[in-house]
Amino acid sequence: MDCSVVRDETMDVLYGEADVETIRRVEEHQAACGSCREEMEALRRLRHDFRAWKLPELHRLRFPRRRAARRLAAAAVMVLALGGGLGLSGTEVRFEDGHFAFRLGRAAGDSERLLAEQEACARCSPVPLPSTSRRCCGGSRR
Amino acid sequence: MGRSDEELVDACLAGDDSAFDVLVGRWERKIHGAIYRVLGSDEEARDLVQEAFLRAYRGLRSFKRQARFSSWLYQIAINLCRDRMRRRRGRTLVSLDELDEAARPLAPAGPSALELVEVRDMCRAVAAAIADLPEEQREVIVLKEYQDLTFVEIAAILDVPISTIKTRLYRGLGQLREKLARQGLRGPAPVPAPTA
Repeated sequence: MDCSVVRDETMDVLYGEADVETIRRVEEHQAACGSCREEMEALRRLRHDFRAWKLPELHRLRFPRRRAARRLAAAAVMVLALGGGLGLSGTEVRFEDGHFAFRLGRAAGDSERLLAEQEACARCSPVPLPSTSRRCCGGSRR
Repeated sequence: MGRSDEELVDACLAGDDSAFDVLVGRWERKIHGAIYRVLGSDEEARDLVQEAFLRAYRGLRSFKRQARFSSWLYQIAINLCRDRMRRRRGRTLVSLDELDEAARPLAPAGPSALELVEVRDMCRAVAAAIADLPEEQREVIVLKEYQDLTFVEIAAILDVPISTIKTRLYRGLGQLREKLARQGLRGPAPVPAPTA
């Protein structure tokens, strides 16, 4: 039998996937063919050498789960929305002397400053400026 | 007895995410081993293992039951390796530090210093020789030799006929024998003479 014909079957025998009939055919061929017999021995030695290549240690993967990720994303959106809302309404959250301090709306100082500006403008202008305006004529109309 | 991979896939599709954790625990080491040996880099292998499981998770509904879950997972891993190799323009890089670390024995009463050097040298030589193979031969050798898959499974993963798998394996083994022999690690067996 041609060596190339038994080559595929040699692979089956080498890796233990051959049936009894295939093993018999390959062994018969190798009994008559010294080079195929030696090749089989060399391949077996090579397979033994492959064992030298070990794997590095692998620690358990941390696989992000879909629901946990969704919950985290929802929590992040809520925190952002709350933070944004508080910031826009002029609310202040502080940590002082080991306690959290919350203030809703504008600070008292802000209101007083706005009133003082409006009064100053009313004094120098015959027409009151709109309360939303922070600009003053600065006495130029006098 | 634990649930089969396919039963775990069904459980995951029904909303039980913990079932996928079981699949990850069952296959991560095998998939890491395959990717590591195809690419030659532990760092990249760790990235790609994570990527492979993420892709599998996202694509669970597209998993067809003709193949086993593990074959499908290997297919994803091999495709990721091919993408990475294309980016590297075919070069396989083997880290000697990683190889030496892996070759170090865990037991305190291990082999002698001489044996350790021999094991380290063989480890380096085998890794370098496999890294030097053409990609298609390297894939087959890794899947057959280190993942212990059958020819039928490898043919399904790589989507080529079994005879092609055996041819690639035979050629790859022949090249490895020559490479190791050139380094004086193994004497080459004679090439079979053609018979009449």
